[in-house]
Amino acid sequence: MVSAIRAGLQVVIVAPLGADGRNIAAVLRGAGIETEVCPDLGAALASLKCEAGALVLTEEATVSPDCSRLRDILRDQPAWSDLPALLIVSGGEGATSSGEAVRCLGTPHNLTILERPLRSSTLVATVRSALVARRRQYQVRDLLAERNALLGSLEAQVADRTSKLQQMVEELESFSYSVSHDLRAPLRILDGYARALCEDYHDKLDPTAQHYLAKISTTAQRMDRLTQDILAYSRVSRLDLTLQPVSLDLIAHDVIEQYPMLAAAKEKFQVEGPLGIVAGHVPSLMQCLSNLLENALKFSSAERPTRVVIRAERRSDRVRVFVQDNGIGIDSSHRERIFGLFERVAAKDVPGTGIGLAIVKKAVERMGGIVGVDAAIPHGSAFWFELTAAAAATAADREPYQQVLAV
Amino acid sequence: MNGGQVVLVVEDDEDDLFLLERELKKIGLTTVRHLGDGRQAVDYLAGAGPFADRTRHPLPELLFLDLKIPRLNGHEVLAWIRSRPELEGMRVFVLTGSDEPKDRARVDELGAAGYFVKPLLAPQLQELFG
Repeated sequence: MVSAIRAGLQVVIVAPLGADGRNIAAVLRGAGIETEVCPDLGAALASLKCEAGALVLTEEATVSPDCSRLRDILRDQPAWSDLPALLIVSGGEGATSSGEAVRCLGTPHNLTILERPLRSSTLVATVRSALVARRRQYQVRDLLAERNALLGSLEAQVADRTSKLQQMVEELESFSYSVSHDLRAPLRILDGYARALCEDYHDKLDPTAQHYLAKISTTAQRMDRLTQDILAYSRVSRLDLTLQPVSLDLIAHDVIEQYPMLAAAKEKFQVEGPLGIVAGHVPSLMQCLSNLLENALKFSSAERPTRVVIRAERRSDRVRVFVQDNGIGIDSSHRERIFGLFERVAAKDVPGTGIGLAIVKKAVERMGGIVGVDAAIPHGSAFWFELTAAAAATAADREPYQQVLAV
Repeated sequence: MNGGQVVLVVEDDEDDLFLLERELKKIGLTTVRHLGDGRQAVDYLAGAGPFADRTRHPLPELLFLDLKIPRLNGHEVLAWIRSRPELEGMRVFVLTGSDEPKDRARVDELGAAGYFVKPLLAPQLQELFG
């Protein structure tokens, strides 16, 4: 297809009267132009379907039943094609037949009318410039074909990659489903039997044996917690988070009520509302806030009663939510790495998997926000996350976590 | 106190079954029948085949249903139960090894008396039936 442009394009000549055809062909051939002389318009039509360079015809040729087919061919050319047609008509004021001849051709864009008597040099120059134009058209055709082939192969590549990616996501999902069920099952059983042993044989076990059994239980539980946290992290990394206006006040209220560990310490939390409305994903927001609140309780100071303040600050188009505690605080050198996966900067006796803050960071980032910690406060630390503020939803699309500001 | 109530446990893991029965016993639920796969559970509830004799295989008041079981999974068994009006009075508690949002959503859709992540321990059972 690409090499279809020949050195010389063929000029199709239809001049049925006398020696016209032969003469025109001789002049053009003399100038190095390839020609094909057709006895009538019907014969010429077949040649036009191949790669014709130009059509030269005399007005006598248009007196033909095949005129309408020629019109169709010229009209139905592809976008890149505009076949040059040269019509040779009788010259002089008295000539009337040229109008009819033009009508016969319809209204081709690329029509040149040459009047007799015709000079050889005029004919050759006109045909040459027509062939130059035609050659460009074929170049455009070939470029278009190349482009389409390229686009086609790109599309195929994109489709191929997409399906591979889809397959990987599905594999990852079934892997994590399998991990969550099959990896956790033995831990549950281990914990279950250790507990059963402790309960059913309590009288026969001395305190050391009971202590060992308790160790087995807590270790199994720790491993289970770790598995769950890894799953939560992978879930928040790959789930499609659809953002909607969410009331942070409702989220804070529900998190404190619904999480057993938080509900048990309810009086230690102080929500300085209103916190505002952000564009967020409800389960991810609940996960973030509960992780931060649980941390605030976990890293409390023995020197003072625990107080955790939840407050928000409007920062242009964003809302920054603070969870500020009066606990043991964080060394400022740990401020960056504390959000990393499996990073633990706490004392060894504080239980944890080192995944909680990594989940918060990942979830907030997936919602288009940022996280951080202000460690410079006198007692304790202030963790924060910042999300895009959202307008209150209208009453019509009210959802459980959308606050309606209609009064 | 609950001794008279018939409990059916559909669970393919023997250890999970043992540990659950132990907890059920603690709150006095002692009439426990057990089946290891979803197909058998459906046959039992339909009184089909070897389970035709209702005096030997009574319909349970309570059903503990694991989700990941062979042949028919827990969701399929639950969907079948929901299609049987005569089983409307039976309380179905779904037990799962891990809380997957997808699993929970499907159970919520079908409707169950409870959805629990194993292990289900006596204090929780006491709250349910005490």
